[in-house]
Amino acid sequence: MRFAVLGSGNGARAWCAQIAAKGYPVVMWEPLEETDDFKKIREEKEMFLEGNMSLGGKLAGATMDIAEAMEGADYLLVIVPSFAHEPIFKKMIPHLKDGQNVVVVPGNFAGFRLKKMMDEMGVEKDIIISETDTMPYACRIDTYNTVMVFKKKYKIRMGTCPSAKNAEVLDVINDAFDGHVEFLPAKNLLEVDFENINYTLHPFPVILNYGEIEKNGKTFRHYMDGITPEASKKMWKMDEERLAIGRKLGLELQDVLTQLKMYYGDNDTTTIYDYVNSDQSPYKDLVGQSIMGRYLAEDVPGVVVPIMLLAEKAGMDAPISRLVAEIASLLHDRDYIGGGTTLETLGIAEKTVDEIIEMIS
Amino acid sequence: MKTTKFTVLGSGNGARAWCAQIAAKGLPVVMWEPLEATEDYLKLKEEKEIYLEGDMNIGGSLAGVTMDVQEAMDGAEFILVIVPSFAHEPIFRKMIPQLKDGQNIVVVPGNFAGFRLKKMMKEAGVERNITISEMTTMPYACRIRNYKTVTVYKKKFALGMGTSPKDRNGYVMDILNDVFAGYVKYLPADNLLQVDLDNGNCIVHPLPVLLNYGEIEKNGDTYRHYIDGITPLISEQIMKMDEERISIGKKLGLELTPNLTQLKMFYGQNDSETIYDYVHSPESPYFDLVGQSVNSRYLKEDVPGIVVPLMLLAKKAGMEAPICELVVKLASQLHGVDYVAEGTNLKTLGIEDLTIEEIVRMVS
Repeated sequence: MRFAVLGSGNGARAWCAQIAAKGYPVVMWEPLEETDDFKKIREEKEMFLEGNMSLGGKLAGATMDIAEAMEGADYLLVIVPSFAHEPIFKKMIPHLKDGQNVVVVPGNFAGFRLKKMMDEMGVEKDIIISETDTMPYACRIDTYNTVMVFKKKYKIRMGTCPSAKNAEVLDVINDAFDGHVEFLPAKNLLEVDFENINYTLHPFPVILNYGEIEKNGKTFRHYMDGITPEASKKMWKMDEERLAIGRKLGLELQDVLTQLKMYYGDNDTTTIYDYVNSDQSPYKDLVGQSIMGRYLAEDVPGVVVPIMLLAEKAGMDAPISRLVAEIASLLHDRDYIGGGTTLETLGIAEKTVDEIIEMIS
Repeated sequence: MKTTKFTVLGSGNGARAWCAQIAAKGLPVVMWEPLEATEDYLKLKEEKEIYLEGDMNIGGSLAGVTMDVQEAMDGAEFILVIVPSFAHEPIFRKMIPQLKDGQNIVVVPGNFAGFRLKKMMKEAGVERNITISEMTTMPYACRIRNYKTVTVYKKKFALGMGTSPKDRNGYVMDILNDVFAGYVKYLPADNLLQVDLDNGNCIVHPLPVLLNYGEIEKNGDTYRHYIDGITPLISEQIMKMDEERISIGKKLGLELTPNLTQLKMFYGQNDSETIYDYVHSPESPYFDLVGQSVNSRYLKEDVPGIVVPLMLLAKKAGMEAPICELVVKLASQLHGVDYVAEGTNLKTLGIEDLTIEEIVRMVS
C-alpha cells in the first residue's frame, strides 16, 4: 500500500511519521514553497513523533511535484486547514487515477467540494473519498523532522463515499494507526461533517467572552476560562440543535459530550463544563485566544453556516446557529453567511436533501 | 403667583430624592407610598422631612406622607411618577380614577409611559384634560441612606424632557427648571417618543453584558460594567448600535441625540470621540460602579423595555434593525425568555394598529 500526504504542516508531517513507522512507503508533497525544512526533509527522508507518542521512520520521498507525489499512490491523504482544500484539489484533480483513495483530515465538507470541482473540471474518475471528523492528535512541529504530539485521541470517526468502501478504507487506516488511534465507521461523509465538535465548542464561548478575550487574549484559556457553567448550558442547547438537524437529515450523530469522551477518555461527567474540568480534559494548558481568531473566522463560516443552511434547506429553523453566525458577522464586520461555506460553494444548492445525502453516501 | 402643589407617586431612591428637591424650594409636596406601611414610611409620616447628601446637600419639610392615593392627588397640580418602569402599570391603575382636568403627570424616566397611560385611560373610559411629560433619565444617580436621607452619587447637568400635548412642554419645563434651578437643567424634546428613544440605556447596557457574559458570571461581584465591560471594540459595536438607533429615529421623523453627546450633556463636556474614551475620561461617573450579574436588569429590563420597542417601531416603519434584533435574540436565548413576546411590544403600548404618523401625533 503506497501513501502520499498532500500538505507539510503539523498534521501532515505527523501522518507521515505515523505511516513511516509502520514501514509503509509514504511521500510528502509540499504545496507552497521550498523552505529549509522541506530541503532537509527531502535530503534526509525521516520523520518522527515525540511527546504523547514516540515513533517514526523513513519516508519514500518528499517532493514539490504533485504528479510525482501522486503517481502510483493508493492513498492520497489531504491534511491541510480547510481553507486550503480548494487550491490543493485544483492541483490534485488533473492527476487523479481510477481506484485512488482520497482521505481528507479533517473533512469539513471536502467531499462536496472535491466532487463539485471534478465536475467543473470535467474529470471523471472512479475514486473513493473519505473524511475524518477531526485530527487524530493535537500536535505541533518541533523541529523539521520532529512533531510534538500533545494529545492523542483514542477514537475518531471516518466516513467514505461510496459508503460500501468504508470498511476497506478503515482497515487500511486502522492498520496504519494500530495501537494508537482507532477509526470508527460513519454512515456517510455528511455525518462526519456534522460531527465536527468545533461547531459547539468554538464560536459561542468566544462571543460570550469577547470583552475578556480583547483585554486578556494572551492568558485567556478558551476552555477553562471561557466555558463557564452558563456558557456550557447554552453550548449544550446549540449542540441539541445540531443533533436535531442531523435527525431531520437522517444522520446518526453523537452529542458533543459523547464525542469528547470517545476522543479523550470516558468518565461520568454530564456537562461540557464538567468534562472540560475533569481529569480526562485535554484543555487545561491551552492558553491564548484572539477575538479575530479562527474559532470565529473559520469555524463560523466553515462549520456553523453550512450546518445552518442545510437545516434551512430541510425546512427547519436553526435559530442558535443563525444567531451565532449573525453575531460573529456583526463583530467581525463580515458576511459569514453569504461569504461562508454556502450550499452554492458545495455545489448542492439545487439538490434536494435526499439527493445531497445520496451524493456523499 | 399661586403656589404649585406637587405629589410624588413612589417611595424609592428617586422618589425620595425628588421630594427633598421640591421641599428644599419650599414648595408643598406629598409623598405617596404605593406598597406597604414600612418603618421608613411611618417615620417619614411622623417627621415629614427629607434630605439629599453627597453630590448635593439640600432638603426640607414635606406637606404630607400617605398611602391614600386620593388624598395624595387631591389638589396636586403636578403628579410625579418616579418608579421603575415595571411599576408604571399598577400605579397608573390606582392613579387614573383620581385624575382631574388640568393635572400634569411627569414620569421619570419615561420609558413609553405616555403610551401606556393613554391606553389605560382609554380602557378605563377616563377622559381628562391632562398633560403627560416624560424624562429621558433620572436627574441623578442616588440611593437611600436612611429613611429620610438620600445619597446623591452623581447629579446630571442637563437632560431632555417632552410633553404631550407638546405646546405645554414650555410650561411644564419652566416649573421643573425652577424646582431644580442651580442643579439640573431640563431641555425641550419634540415629543414623548423622542424622549423614549433617547434612553441611552438601550445602547450602553445590554450589548456589553452579552459580550462579557462569561466574565460577569465568574467575577460579577468585582466586575465594573463600564470600566471592564466597555472595551475599545465593544465601544465600537455599541456606537454602531447607536447609529442604528439614530437612523430609526430619522425614519420615524425624530431627531435623536447620539449617546456620546448625551453622556457629555449629562456629565460634562470633553473632547472624547468614543464611548470608551468618555467612560475613561475625568468626566466619567462610572469609575466606582462595581458589581454586575448575568441576570442583571441591564438585560432583563432594558432589552424588553427599550430595545424591543425600538426594534418593533423600526420594523413598523419598514426598516431593518439588525443589531437591535441580535441583542434581543441573544438576550432571549441566554435568559430562556422570549423578550419580544413578553416585552414592551406595540400591542402593550396600544399602537399596533396605528400608522407611524398616528403614533407620533398621539404623543406630540
